[in-house]
Amino acid sequence: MTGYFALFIFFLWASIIGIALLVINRLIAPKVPDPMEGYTYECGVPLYDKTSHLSLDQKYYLLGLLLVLFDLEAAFVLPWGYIFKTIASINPWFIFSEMFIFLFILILGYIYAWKKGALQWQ
Amino acid sequence: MELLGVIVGISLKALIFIIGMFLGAAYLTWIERKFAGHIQQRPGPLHVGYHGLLQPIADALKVLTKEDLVPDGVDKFLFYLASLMAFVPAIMILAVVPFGEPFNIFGLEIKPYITDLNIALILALAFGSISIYGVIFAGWASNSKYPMIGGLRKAAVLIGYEVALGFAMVGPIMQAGSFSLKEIVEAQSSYWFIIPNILGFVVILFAILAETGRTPFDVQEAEAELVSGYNTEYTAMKFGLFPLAEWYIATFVLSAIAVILFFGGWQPFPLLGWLPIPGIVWFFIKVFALFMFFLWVHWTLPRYRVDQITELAWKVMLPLALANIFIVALWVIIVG
Repeated sequence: MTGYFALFIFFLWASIIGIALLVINRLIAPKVPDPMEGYTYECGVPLYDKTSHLSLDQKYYLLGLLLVLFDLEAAFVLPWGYIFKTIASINPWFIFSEMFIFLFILILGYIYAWKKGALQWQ
Repeated sequence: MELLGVIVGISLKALIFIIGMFLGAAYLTWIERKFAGHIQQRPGPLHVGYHGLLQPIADALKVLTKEDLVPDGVDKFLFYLASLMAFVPAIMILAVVPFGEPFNIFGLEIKPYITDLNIALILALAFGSISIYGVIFAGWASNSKYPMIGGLRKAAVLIGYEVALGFAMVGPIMQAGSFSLKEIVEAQSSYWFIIPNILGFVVILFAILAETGRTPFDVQEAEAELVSGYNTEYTAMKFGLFPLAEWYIATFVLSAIAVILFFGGWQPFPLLGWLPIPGIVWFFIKVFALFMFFLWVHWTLPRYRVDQITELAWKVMLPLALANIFIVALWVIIVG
């Protein structure tokens, strides 16, 4: 447990230092108000469109779905990698074929997605 | 009482690590600017101190004393949180990086790492991903179009390289049979894991460039198209934390992770083990070599388009990472 406790204390100190830097900056920096200073970056003219939380055309929607799939696969492959060496010394072809049948099905799906054009920037 | 002692001890060590990383990162900026200057045939920082050696300190003071601007219509909470979200997870990776073996000074055992967890590698991967949220939050909270596009581009790049990075790390895990970075280094005492893992290393090089937003893949800031990308609206220290976290701290600690995975961490170079050089020095030599490699790539290559980068991630890096798992599995079964 001490390992995670140390991690937590490190996290606290990292956050404290980050916040302290922002607060010190706010305390010691000069404040010189300027009429145009609240404008976001545009060509220097008053903004035509005050908000920019607009909907954009997402060109990688299908890639986002594939990410969920492949990250789940990674969650299976990582523990398999962890025990691979131990079991490979007893029964190498069992653990080898077990994961590569799984990966083979995954790769079939991957080829299907590629052929369907899901990996394209649409 | 005992708990208090532990807390004080860990706090001291954490502060030494964080402040050391800060000073280190400050001088990494100097190294980068000098290096970039000489690549472009100009001297780089020259006037503040001998060859600009005091320039990082002058820069830090300048960033700290600039006006803290918050534009209208900004989501204030997320706006400030974005800086912290970029900075804190990047430096959290440092907590799991082992710099060397425990050693004794005056009978006191000193461990040159914060903690040695049995899931250190997964934590490093997780913190690496969380730090990307800083960029995405900054893009959303700024209420400006250029940061918005920058943040979305970063998200697109990230979802490709995250997968490849996860699969590429499986190779060294299989050879070491452990997620603990310390045990991975100890498993490399006979030979470095670069030997069958060369494809995995290539994937990790590209993934680090993409995660830290260094040049061939810096579509999230692309100063020629997006002004300054996700940090266009940021000023003063809020701004300062972004490059500090992304370009210096993240690049440095991810180089350290790559060195641990593939180049034997603090193990000496092959055939040079007889030299009286401590492990920590070997480790820093390797990390700096890799860091300088990233600088070299950054300052010599032009930028790719965002669609080219994502397609590279899915069509080249992912198959390479899967092929790497296959090769390493055969290697472990045949060679042992």
